[in-house]
Amino acid sequence: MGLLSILKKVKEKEREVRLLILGLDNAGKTTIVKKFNGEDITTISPTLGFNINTLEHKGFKLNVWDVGGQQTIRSYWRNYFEQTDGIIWVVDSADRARLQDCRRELHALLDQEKLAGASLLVFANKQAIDLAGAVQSAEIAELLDLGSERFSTRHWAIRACSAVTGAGLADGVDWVVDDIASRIFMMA
Amino acid sequence: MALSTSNWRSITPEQVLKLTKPTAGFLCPLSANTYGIEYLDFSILDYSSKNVIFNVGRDNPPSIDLSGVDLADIDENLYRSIKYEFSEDVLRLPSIQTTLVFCVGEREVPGFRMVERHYFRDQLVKSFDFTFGFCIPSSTNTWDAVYSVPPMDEGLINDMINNPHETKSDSFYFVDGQLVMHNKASYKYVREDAAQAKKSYEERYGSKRTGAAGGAKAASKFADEEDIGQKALAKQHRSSAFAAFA
Repeated sequence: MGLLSILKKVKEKEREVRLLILGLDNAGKTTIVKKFNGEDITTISPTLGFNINTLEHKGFKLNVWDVGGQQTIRSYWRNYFEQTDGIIWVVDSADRARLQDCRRELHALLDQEKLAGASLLVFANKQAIDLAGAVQSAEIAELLDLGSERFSTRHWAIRACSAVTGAGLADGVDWVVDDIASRIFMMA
Repeated sequence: MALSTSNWRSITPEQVLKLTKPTAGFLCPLSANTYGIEYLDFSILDYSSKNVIFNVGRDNPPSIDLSGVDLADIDENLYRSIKYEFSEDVLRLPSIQTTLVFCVGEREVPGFRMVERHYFRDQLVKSFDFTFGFCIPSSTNTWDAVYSVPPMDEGLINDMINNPHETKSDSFYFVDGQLVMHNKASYKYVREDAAQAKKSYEERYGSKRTGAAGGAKAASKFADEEDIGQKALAKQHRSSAFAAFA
């Protein structure tokens, strides 16, 4: 068997998942992706565009789209909805002042028809940085109205994490990938 | 119909995905890039150790080989042909990570897509097809890709090492299905013992960046000498290497 046919086989077998990471600016989206990927996180500047990460995780090929969260960029988010299997919404748990903004943006996002079937993972980030100020993930779930009617048909989960230490990241990514896999790949 | 610059506006991704050898020239003029797409940085890492194997960018520009070039003949195309020099490690690592950083101009870039064809001696070795999709006006974007590389035939690896710059690639970039950029590259793989020499050179002469430049020269000289003795051997390997592609 030649190299090309091996490559082709690998590709056919490959189960691709498209994840979209969004959230307000400074929530830690890029740091989460880099930490998850084992990369250096000491010099991360605001994302003024996108960072795409193509990586393999537990037999899946993940294409992770991390798009900048600054207000001027948010109007472009809709360009990345197509074919999204899962949304990872990142919340800066310590930024209480903007939790209402955060909720508004999340709700607007989930009203989008193209994202209707996407699994939702909420990362309550920065949990370990400032334990006193960080709101527990249950409280964040409440502040984001995750228990309300609009989320009743959505597959969602919330996980506390710290992008800096990496705590909670694998657990969250595993949940979203498993949930997508159970919806998409196991149906056949 | 042959693909050529004269009909570049009608060239499609599907057409370049059928190419089986490097193109004779560039399929589009530099002026086709009306979106101001510009590469800022490209690096290759060993995924498991995170060691940087290769980096080229604004802070670390590629050395353009001007030897044997008539300075009167230099044209714009020189800047879209790059000669890479890698350690042979690149051919054997189980997984590598490539990072590409690029920026775009003030217009929205819809449906940005890259097709890259890699050849060794007019034989297709690898083909990449990746859709970046939409790019935000004036944005800087990064693409990190981790590849698990299927093991390559040792005979082919030896052939690639022994025949510098006969491994070539064509990179085609499309916006909304229209060709906007075409770059060419050729690759030289330096033997590990030579790469070791480069490392000790760096240790001796300090600074990593300046060391890397000087070290690369020393390494390539070493590899060239080795090439002479191994050319006959490479010929023997060639038939077996191509058998792997049958």
